[in-house]
Amino acid sequence: MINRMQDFSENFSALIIEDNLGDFILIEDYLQEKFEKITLVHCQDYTTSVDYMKNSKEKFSVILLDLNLPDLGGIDLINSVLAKSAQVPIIILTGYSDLAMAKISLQIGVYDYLLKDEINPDILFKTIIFSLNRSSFINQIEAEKLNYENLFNFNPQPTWLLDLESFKIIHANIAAQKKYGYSLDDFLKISFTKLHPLGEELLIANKFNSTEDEESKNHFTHLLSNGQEIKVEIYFKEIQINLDRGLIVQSNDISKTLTRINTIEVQNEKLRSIAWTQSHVVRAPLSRILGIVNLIEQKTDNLEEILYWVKQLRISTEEMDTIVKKIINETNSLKEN
Amino acid sequence: MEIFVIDDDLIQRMIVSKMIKIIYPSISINECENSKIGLAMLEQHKNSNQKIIVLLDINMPILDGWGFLDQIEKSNFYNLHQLSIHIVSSSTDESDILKANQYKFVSKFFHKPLSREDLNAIIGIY
Repeated sequence: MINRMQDFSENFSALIIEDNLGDFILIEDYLQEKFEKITLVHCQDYTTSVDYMKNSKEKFSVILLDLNLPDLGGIDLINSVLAKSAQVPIIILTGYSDLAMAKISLQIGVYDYLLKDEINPDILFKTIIFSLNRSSFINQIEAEKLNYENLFNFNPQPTWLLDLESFKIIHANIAAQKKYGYSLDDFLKISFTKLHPLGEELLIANKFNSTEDEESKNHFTHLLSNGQEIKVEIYFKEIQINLDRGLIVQSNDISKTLTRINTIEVQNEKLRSIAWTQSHVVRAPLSRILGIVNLIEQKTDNLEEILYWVKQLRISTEEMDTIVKKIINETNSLKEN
Repeated sequence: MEIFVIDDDLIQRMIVSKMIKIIYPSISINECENSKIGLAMLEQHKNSNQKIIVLLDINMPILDGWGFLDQIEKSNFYNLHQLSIHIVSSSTDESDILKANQYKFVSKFFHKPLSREDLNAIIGIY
């Protein structure tokens, strides 16, 4: 949210770079008329002004710059002052003879220009206030931009910006550099698809070309710089990068999750095997034992036969004992995994 | 009436045979140690007019109970109205019971061991 217009009439300061003393006095008068508290610094040539900016700690509200100084003028002067002004808005003061150059200067970062013959207190004031407002908006936008850059860079999830057509990597955050073992420069040389093994390059390109919500395959393999393979899920969204369309892409390492699922499946298989054993193997001697008991209950007159069945009872019971021990061992091996 | 006990476990076969002999002393019993032998012995009784009852185990080497049922289905044996097949398994696994139900000519699924009541239910109705 852009702040409301600040009150610039207090604590206003200006650096006036002007070799013509008459012009300076005029501007000084105009400014004092419009601003209550005002600090003015006057430099008569380029060298002095640069020295002043270099040594002074105070930051000016604006710089008023004459285009013709004894030691420098024209585009060279503008570029040099721009380089040293540290984002302070520059307003050019010029005569008709340099009007064309003044217009050009707007494209290289000068905030505004004023024709000396047309300056009056109101025009000067309005020009300065507009410049200050624009400067304040620009600073806020820059601050927001920095915030988003930090959100990108310090996101713990590996994140990239890609060109929409070629999938070339335009940017990679710190998490991506750490996780994958590539420097930002390494990343900038390759297309995102190169992070995938050969067979997957087309698949990932297809994924990017599909609509984001599509429930397509989302398990991919990524190769780290040390040759290690990880399994990842890929999330992406189309965004504007500067003036071009691009993709923001995140990868989520699911290798550990997949390993865990695999472990669980192996354990499930063992549990199924135990259930099968319970049903078929354990019940075999058990049903024999029960059957023998049934039999003895029906007919108990022949001692020799009873002894035979008791012996069978022992065999089946021992068999069951072995099976139960085996199940216990299998269950223990479940814990070890 | 002929009873076929098809089971690879000798003791199980002995138990069932003894039980039947005690309850129904006149019935003749054929013990088969796997389905292959069972099928061969049944073949010999194909033209007999006697009631035939099969007590079939599931887990057996060579040819198991399912293989036996498949053969019976293929050779249209089950058209013989005098033939009734009962599965007698130590398995209490639900999937085995469901599988057995898919064979229309299987009368019932029994868990081992067969009790006196079970035998009465199987044999008594004839």
